[in-house]
Amino acid sequence: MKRFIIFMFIVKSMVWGSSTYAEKLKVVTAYPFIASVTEQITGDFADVQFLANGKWDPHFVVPRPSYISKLRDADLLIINGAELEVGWMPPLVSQASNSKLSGNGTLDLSRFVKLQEIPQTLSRAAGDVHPDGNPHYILNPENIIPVAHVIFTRISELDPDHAMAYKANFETFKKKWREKLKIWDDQMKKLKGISVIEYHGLYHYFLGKYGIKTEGTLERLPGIPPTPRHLVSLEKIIVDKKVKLILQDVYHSPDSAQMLAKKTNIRMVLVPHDVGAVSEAKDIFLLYDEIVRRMTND
Amino acid sequence: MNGKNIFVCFILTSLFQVTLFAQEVEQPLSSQSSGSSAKLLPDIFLNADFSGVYRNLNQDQFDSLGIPGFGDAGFYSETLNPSKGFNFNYAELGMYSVVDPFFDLFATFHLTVSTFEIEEAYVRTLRLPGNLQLKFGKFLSSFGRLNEVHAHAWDFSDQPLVYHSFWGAENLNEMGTRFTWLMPVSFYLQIGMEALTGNNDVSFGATGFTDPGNNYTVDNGMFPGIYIGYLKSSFDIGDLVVLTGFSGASGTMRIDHDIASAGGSGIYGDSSLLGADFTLKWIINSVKSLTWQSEFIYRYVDGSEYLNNGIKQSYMANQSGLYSQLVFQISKTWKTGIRFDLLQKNQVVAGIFNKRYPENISRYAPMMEYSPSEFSRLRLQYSYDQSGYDGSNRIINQQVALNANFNIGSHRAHSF
Repeated sequence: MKRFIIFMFIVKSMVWGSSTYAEKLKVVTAYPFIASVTEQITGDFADVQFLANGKWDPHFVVPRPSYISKLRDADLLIINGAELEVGWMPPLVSQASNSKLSGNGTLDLSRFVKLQEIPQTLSRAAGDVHPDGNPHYILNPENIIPVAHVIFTRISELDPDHAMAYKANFETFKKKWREKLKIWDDQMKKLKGISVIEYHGLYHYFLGKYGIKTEGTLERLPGIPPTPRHLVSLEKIIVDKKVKLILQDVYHSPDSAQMLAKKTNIRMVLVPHDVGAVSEAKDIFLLYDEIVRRMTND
Repeated sequence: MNGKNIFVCFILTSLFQVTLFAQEVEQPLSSQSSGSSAKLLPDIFLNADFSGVYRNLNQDQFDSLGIPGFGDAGFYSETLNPSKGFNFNYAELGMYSVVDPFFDLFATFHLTVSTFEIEEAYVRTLRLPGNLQLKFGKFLSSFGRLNEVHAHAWDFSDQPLVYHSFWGAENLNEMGTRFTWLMPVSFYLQIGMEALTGNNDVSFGATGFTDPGNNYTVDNGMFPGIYIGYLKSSFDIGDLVVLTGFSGASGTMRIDHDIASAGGSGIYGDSSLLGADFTLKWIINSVKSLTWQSEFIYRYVDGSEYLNNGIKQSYMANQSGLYSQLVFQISKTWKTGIRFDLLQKNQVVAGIFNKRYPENISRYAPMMEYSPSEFSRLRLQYSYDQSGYDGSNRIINQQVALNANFNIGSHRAHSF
């Protein structure tokens, strides 16, 4: 036993001693957008890494052991929450056996914003439903400042030495975000009141904020791929409700949306949902610039 | 610093962390929490598996098959999809929850028409320092790649032949304890050690035996009957995930081949197994991936064979097998794959006689899967099986199985 402890002590001191990031706070986030917001606050004082690729379906991230290595060393894990990670994250966290991630070491952002579409009754007959409500709240730009605030608060608790810098960065971010928000609000005005169709309920928060009506989804039920019969019924809806746009995400096949757009002679828009989903969306500001640009670009 | 001090330190730091809990600065919006966790109920799921089977052999022929050196007659009847016609394979009832900030508990109950079994029930530590984790209870061993995977998560409708031959129809599933350490290196490297009871009656066995003439007695085994050590490693090359592992198991074999009746025998000796596994997974996008997975297991037994008539002779076995499978997840709904099974080496020497058991025994199985949603799945699998023997005659079994699997309740994420 004694020898084993000494051995472990030596291994640990070797590893920690050699690490150049030993002093930095290590933050791991589930998705790239969270990492982008976090970097705005931490600057160079923390080492921020994300797990899922922004091009992927956030519901179906293929788990891999290298994620466990990242989680193993993290001081803080920040997740989207609202069950978006439920299909891939829990076994990784448990296998990382990182005692720092229990309690204050995991931050669930969904608990600090108001979620919409909380189902009244739960049944899988309604498809792949989210019991906590629609988890894609990050696509409402109004939710970014509350999210940044809670990240700033938690990081300052964990790394009080740099709290002043975090505070300054947060204030700068908040100011810049509010300025950009005015620009986006202004650009989006011309789409107010129009009707659209989405692939999945991914953009509900965004559409809700800008007064755009969703007349249907290509998926008949959440998580179930589009059926030919359902697409025919959507054709009628597009004509009857004067739908202007079909919003397609980057991770489902755009074939159905393209076909429907061609048949009804309306525009299909490929809308990024996360940082890195399209090459232009390099950070959280550019993500919104790109969403607004693509939707308003006739 | 001695062990006691470390324990005290651990308790103190844990208590400190608990007090920190109370001081949440930002108040979460309280109304938002999911139904079951709000009522402090564990997550519960029920998974049911049914199948329809057609094969060229009739039921009696099938039930009389074994593999010399690996399994007696009835070997295949203990697996899933045993009957020609309709099968209710199992219903698996599972529960999971954290116990408190320090432990979590997971249990699955394996139910068939006439049996209720606790398949797994184990507790894990959540807050051991230094990326260490302790697990205890009844659980599937982490030996190899597939052993700890539950039947509903397999890519094929049956176990690989090498698993069935070395561990039996229920894999290596024992009571005991496991200690794992995630090593502090830049890639994934986990080292694990297990101490298990040793009840597995294919490669080990904890129950002793006596010959009818009372010439000798092999006593029951004591805990732990098996020691297991393994090393698992993984790294990414872009979207290509490489996963590899080495495992070793060592214990005592006590097998009673019906020693009480004429022609029966018993085996008692040291049993060691070595395993190596290698997986390449190319993640093409969220729903599309291509996986090549292979495993090799080798068993060495050195001991004595006790015959019904009171004779004792030396017994030595050198046996090995492997499987290799390629699985293509085409889309969320479609998946296809092919598996090749081989029992390679089958050298068994009892006394001065080499038993000359058949070697290089193979099986091929392609499959196609359709999943209407994440919670339901249909799988059609064909197998061309040259592994079965009636006495010393090879009998070829061709089989088509259509399996239907359904999951209700909470859906626990699967590991990689």
